[in-house]
Amino acid sequence: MAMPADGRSPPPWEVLLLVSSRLDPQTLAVSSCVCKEWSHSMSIDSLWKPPCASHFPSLCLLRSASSAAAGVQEDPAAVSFRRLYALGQRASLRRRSPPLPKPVLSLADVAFLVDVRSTKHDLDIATVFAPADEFCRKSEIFLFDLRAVDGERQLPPEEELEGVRVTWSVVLKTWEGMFMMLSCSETEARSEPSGDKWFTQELPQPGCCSGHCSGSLAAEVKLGMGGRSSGEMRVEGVSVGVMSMAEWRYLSIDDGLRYLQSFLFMKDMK
Amino acid sequence: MSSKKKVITLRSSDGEIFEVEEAVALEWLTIKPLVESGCTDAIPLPQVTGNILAKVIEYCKKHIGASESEDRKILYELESWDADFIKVDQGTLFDLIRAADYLTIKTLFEFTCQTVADTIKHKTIEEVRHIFRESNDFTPEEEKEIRGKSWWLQGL
Repeated sequence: MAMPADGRSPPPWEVLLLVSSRLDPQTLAVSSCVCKEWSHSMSIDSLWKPPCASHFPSLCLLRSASSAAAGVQEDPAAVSFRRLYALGQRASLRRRSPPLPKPVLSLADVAFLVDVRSTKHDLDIATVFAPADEFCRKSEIFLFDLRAVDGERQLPPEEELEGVRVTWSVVLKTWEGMFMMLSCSETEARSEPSGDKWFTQELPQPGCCSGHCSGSLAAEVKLGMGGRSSGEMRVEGVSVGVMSMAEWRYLSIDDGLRYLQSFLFMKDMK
Repeated sequence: MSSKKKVITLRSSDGEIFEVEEAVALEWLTIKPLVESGCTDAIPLPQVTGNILAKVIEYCKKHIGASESEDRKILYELESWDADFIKVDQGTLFDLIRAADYLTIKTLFEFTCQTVADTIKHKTIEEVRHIFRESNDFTPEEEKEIRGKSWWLQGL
């Protein structure tokens, strides 16, 4: 047989048979859909016995038990290992929650507004307004960092901190929706030895279809503080995130967006 | 005992004559009994062509003794030699698998089969068809049925 110029050619059937026993179930299943010849080689049921036995040993035991009950070593009417494997896969997939639809909202649609303001003196101490996708993200979790904020003003002295509020809002860039994630008084902050301040507030329960309905969520704002040594505290960095309080971890980006979209896309807005 | 190593003569399907050391031929389980019986005639191998037999001998000569070595440098060198050796077109690779199976050469058989298996892994159906120049010869009904059996595959 002439060899094609690119050196590629279909494998002969005996090669398929020889190779098939080295393939994992995923590859076997893909291979069985290539063409008729591959399908015949990859569907030989004994190929499916080892993966079936290692992934779903109880199903395999059940199969041999039913053969034993029928009084034969290998019951020809017994369900195929391939089918058993598919059944086991289906059952274990059902155990996991079904995949949620991708959020309609994307990070590119929203901007974050973080404001530190003295209500008593009606003064902005620091304001950050930036598109969400410009915040530095820590991997794929809903936690965003904005460094190097120039705090316009230093924080007021301790005795006047009570009048200082920190708010974090999410705004649709089209200005068709806005949602306040957190609004805390300065006195509610947990301070770190470094001077950084953490604010946490529970979020309202989302509407339906947000995808994250189990347990409550909390919004979190961290203000990175500088100028502590000189006694003139300024906001130098801002981080914002959403935590699942039940699981004590940050939401994934998609879960965070699914939560937000239930508040930002309200049908009665327009 | 003669210091000269004993040589076994082999004849490929296309009549080419090859000579290999006895130690190499003893690794080929199919002909091992013949070699042990002291056969002096050329052993006919009607399933293997000369060019493939040359490759098989090249591989076995390189591997004899070296595979069991515990010297990491030797093993590393062997690994890179293998990587070069296996850079052949698919037809040759398949012929090597058949030859290794026919002659029962365990190391070469494992190595060549695994090479093909690794090529198939983590591919989509279309990619496999392209790599192996296979065409979809299912009727629409057959394709639906076969895919139905693998419904649990993701990204099929």
